[in-house]
Amino acid sequence: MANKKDTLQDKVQGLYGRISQDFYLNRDDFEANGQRYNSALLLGTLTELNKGNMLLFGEYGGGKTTSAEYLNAVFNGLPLDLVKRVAIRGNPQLTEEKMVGRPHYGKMHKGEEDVVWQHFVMIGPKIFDEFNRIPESNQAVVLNGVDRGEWNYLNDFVSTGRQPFFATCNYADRGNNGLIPPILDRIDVAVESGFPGVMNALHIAQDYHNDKDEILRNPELTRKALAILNSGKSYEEAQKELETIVQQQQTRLRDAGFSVLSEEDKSKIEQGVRGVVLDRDAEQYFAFLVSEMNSSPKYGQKRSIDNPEGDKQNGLYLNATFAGSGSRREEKSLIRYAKSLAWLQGEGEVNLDHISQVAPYVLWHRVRWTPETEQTFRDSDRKDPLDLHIAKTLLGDGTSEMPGVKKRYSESQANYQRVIDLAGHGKIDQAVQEAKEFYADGRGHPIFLDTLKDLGGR
Amino acid sequence: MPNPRFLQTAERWKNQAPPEERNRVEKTKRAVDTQDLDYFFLGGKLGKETHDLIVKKYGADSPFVTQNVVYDKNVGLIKGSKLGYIIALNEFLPDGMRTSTSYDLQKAIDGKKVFQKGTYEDLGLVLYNESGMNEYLARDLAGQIKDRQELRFPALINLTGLKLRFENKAPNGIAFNLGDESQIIYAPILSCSNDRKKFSKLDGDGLPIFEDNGDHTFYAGSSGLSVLFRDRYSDLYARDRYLVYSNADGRVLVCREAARSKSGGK
Repeated sequence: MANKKDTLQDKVQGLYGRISQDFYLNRDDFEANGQRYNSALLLGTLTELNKGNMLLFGEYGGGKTTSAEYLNAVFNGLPLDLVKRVAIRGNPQLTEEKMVGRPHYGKMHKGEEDVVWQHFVMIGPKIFDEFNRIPESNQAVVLNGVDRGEWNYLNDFVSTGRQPFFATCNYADRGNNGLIPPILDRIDVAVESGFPGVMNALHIAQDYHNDKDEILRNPELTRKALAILNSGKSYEEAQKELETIVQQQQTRLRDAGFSVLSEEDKSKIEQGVRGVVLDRDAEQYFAFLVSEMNSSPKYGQKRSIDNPEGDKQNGLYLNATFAGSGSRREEKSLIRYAKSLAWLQGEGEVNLDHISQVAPYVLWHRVRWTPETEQTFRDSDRKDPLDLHIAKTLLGDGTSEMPGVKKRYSESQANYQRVIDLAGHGKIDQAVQEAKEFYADGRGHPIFLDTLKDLGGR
Repeated sequence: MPNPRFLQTAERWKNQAPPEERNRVEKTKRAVDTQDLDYFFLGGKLGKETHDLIVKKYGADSPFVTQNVVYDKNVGLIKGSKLGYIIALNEFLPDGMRTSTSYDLQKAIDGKKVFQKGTYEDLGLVLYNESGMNEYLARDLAGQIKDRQELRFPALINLTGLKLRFENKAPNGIAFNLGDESQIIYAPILSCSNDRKKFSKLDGDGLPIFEDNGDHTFYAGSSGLSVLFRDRYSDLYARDRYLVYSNADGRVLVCREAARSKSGGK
């Protein structure tokens, strides 16, 4: 049972630990500031705290959906069977009517227009299973819902606000499709649900009827919840009634030793995460990363219609390794997740480790590496899927052949700080002059080009 | 008009103490640039005598200075090269002679004074930052530079003017001292982002001028202190060398003021 003196961080760590120990058995593959976690579960936890969007990649039966179901059930006080019931299973025949809402057929026969919202929309935390099995043309249907929590059908709409959203994807096979870039950009983080290890697998296999889930299931409450969802009540009314279901399930979980989060707790967590600031190193690493992802000495700025190879002549920066550019959504995701990680670790400031460890998970699904970049890393020894491995390498220290952003940051930070100091002490002309020298006509770091533009020197 | 958000951020990020004025004499023009120079690989009587003096001072098996550098009497050449040896050599070379810089080596190759193919030459040190490769020496050298002038990374340090200092705490017991003539050149072109770029020519500081279809490749380092050297194919490296490494392909290029030598050294 959670102690009343437990901090909110203790409660969240408690839930993380409980899922990790008893439900989603896994191995640690993520480290920040000396603490080790499982990336799928950690970023899933941060997705719950943030009400973010997360993509889970993995092999068939690799635990992608399972981890999302446990997270949504435990963090939101929803019966596990209800969570499973309202999830959408992707298939090529899925239409807007099956995903979002449909006309009220009874009323339609009387010439009236009304919308029956699908359970997927009505229940806050969402899981879209096998997301890449729906055709690319239908993926756009959930665009606004995923991004802003606004769901439209006919002339009606429901605003759920941001809610935790999990989408699972199998690796490419004959039955699935690519995910469209606008969807990928709206997904905050992506992870791989990896092999848990032989001993964990043995343990999982022996629980072949998922008996351990019994504590999270509640068929009676699920039936009541479905009755509310099918009652035709408005979204707001339904939410009010569902709150009672959640409270009952939370009592049950609390009795079973879960450190349940109340709505008040969640609100305090949100405030707590907002209150976390970035220290100077973290902000400057962010600045270096953003400048490399968006600037192009050759074409003025990075664009998806330009050939990234063109920037190679100015140096092996990140901008030459992928097609397209960074996005403001991606940068917001990075800050939000880095802040929530720092909060979870009880820190008031995001440090370099927080931001640089989270960054690859924010980027790898959004970035299209050039064939040459992929070729460079294709045969390297690695633990992660290729795209994630490249992201981790190039956002970290890199290799002797392709240095990474963190390495360049450590190399150029002193020079950048000097320009900052000059500008901060009002010596703008000198700051411009030195930024020009450090930029060295395109041979220096692109942060200096960006600085020159900000200082009016370009 | 500067972006006000940049200025706000700079206000937040700035160090309280205003930045020091940069020492504008950080790069001194080489006095020898305009002079007529002879270049040769160290050997013959001079090679034998200086080698013996170095061995006498540092011992025959000093890992940092003499190990794997020998005088080959069959061909009358010093075979092997490492930084410590070259710096030590400058202590014993007669007036009017010094070891070469990157610029000198290119000049010697262009002037067909030496046949460089199949050999390697150590030309300088590149200080990328104060951590990583050869960290102790990097920190030590960075501290000395900061006492003298502003330090900006990456910095190229030519070997002429450097001295060796016995230092118990240093790996191999030897560290570098900057001398009065030491040249520290801010060299952003040696940055790791220029790794594997092509070049055919060097500028007046001996730094590569990159071009798409150049004949040679530059291999950048990225941390700590690295050796700058040219390999058997004339590619320029600022990485992948232990400071104490030497093999029989190494050569030591010496510059001699031609006019002085012809007139018997005035």
